[in-house]
Amino acid sequence: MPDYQSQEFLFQRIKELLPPHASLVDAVANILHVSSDSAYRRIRGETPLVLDEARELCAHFKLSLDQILNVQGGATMFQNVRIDTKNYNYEKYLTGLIQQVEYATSFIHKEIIYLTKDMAVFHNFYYRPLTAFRYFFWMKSIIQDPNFADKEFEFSILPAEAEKLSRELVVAYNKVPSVEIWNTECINSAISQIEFYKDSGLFTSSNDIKMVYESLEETILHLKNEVEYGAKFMPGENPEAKKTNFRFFYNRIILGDNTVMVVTDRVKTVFINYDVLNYMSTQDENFCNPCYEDMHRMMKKSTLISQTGEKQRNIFFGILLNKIKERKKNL
Amino acid sequence: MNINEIQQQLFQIIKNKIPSEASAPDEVAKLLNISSDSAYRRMRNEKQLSFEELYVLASHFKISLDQLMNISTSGILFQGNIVNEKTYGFDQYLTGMLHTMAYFNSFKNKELYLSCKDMPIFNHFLVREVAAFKWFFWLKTYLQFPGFAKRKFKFSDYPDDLFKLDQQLLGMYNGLASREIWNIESMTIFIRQIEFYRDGDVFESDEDVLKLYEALEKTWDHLEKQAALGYKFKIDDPEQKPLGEHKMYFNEVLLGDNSILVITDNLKMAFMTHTTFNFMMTRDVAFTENMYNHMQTQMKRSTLISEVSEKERSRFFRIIRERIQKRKEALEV
Repeated sequence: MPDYQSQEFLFQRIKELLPPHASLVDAVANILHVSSDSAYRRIRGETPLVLDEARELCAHFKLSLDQILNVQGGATMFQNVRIDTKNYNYEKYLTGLIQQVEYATSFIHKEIIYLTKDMAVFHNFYYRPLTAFRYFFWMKSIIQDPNFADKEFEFSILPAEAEKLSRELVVAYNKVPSVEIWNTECINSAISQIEFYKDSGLFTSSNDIKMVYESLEETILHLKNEVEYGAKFMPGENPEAKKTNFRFFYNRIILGDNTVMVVTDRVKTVFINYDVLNYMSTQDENFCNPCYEDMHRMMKKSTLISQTGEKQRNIFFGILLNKIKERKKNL
Repeated sequence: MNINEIQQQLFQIIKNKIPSEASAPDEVAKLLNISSDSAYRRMRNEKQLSFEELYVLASHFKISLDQLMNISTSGILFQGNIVNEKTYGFDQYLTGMLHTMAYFNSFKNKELYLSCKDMPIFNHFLVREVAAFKWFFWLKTYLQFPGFAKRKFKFSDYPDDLFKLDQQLLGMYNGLASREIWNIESMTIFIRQIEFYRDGDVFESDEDVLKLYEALEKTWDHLEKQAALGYKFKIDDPEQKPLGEHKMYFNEVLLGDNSILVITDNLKMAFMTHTTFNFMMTRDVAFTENMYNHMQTQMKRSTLISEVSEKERSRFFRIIRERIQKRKEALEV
């Protein structure tokens, strides 16, 4: 790649990272300790950047120099959110999700489209036993918190703060109009995780396993109820009093990948999930628009079972509930 | 580390990569199109490298500048195209993948890690009937190309040129060492897609469905043989001459996401799929390291079923084989 292209690309990325009112020239002049004129010349590619300057800029904006130098077009910048045990723990992760959902709520037009591989994350938090199990599984097997290494599962393991935040997240999600595209395989991970912990002797009693399964069953029944009304609500709330803001599709042919799209007024944001809990997001139109079209194509090929399609809805939820029943029988 | 030390270290890495009989200043001079004297000045830190020179050297010697300069990134840059009918068709998708695989092959040491939500794409190319079905399904149902809207599936419609491309891709994949993390559900969606077309009368007859299931069985048998031997080989090679090393893991807890990690001499590349079909690549050091650690953890939690653990391997392959068999029995032929 010729010099000016990579240099131009670097400045383009920096521009995208700056707040809308900030001046690129001022920012560059400041970071490189040069005059505005000199900054201009670098931005226009008249003065080639030297190694030190490239490093200063990349380090300041946390940009990958490897990427900048290798880009051939079709590049999309993602912001990354990764959970860990130190800087960004589970509670902060939940708080971050709540903020994202509440931010979407603040717009006049908003919609969340969720193409699921697993149960959409929000549905794990209606009932305490399931919330506790998911928390334990994620902490032990995914985040690998050393404090959980030798622990067995007990319901009391769920901290009050995590429980409160989990609930807040669902309450926030329930307020935003959303579309979920499910497949009957979406429940498999939840079941196989319970089975894996059961086989590994991580439950202290078979009654606990039963309680987790019952909680999962209640969750699916509650979800079915929400789908029937086309509205989202907490268990115990009156669905009649809720706005219809929930469209649910039964997709038989493709298992999604937990991609979430948030559409607000005129901006689309795509969240790509990876390594179970982590996600990264972008608002790049060249990326988001085709994704949006993809999701709509998927809806066309799926059956709408919220508010309508009673027979298909019964079939869909019947399959999910049977999977749980089969497992409960073996206890 | 200050900039002089970084430049010095860069040239140290370059010197280590140049064969002992060659002269480092001459190589650098040639690459940067400058005199040996000028190259010397850069190597002695009397002159700073420009952005362009840095690019030329780093890409030629495949050096990660992020690692060298200890740059930590919060934004991650991904590259990738999205398949569409007008500007990036299916053949371009395959050609793009082929170029990427050829790039991996240019490294001395290379290995693929695959987290399989579905059967890895390359394995769809083992048997022509399977490749033909997947091509048709992707274009008609997933991408919804208008030309396919009213078409029924015929094996003979599959273009020879595409199958040639498939074979090239398969050849590249076979030559690379790979570690694959599978789940018992990794074949579920494929079978579901066949049934979806059968229910929707997209096949011309149940004979065609049978032919497809038989092709899938042939693919499955081959994968089991590869797993038993611990290496890949050509499906039509009676001698089963070993190609790339093949490690297969059976994970009972998590279903993968079809992401691929490529580990080469000194850098890692991550491929993520999104909206189920398209993929994008990053070289971001922190991101790829994290993916590497995640995959390592998943492998630890899985059972290695290639070469060893015959009982678990047989169980894994048997469950899927029985699922295919059950579908075959339901056909009206």
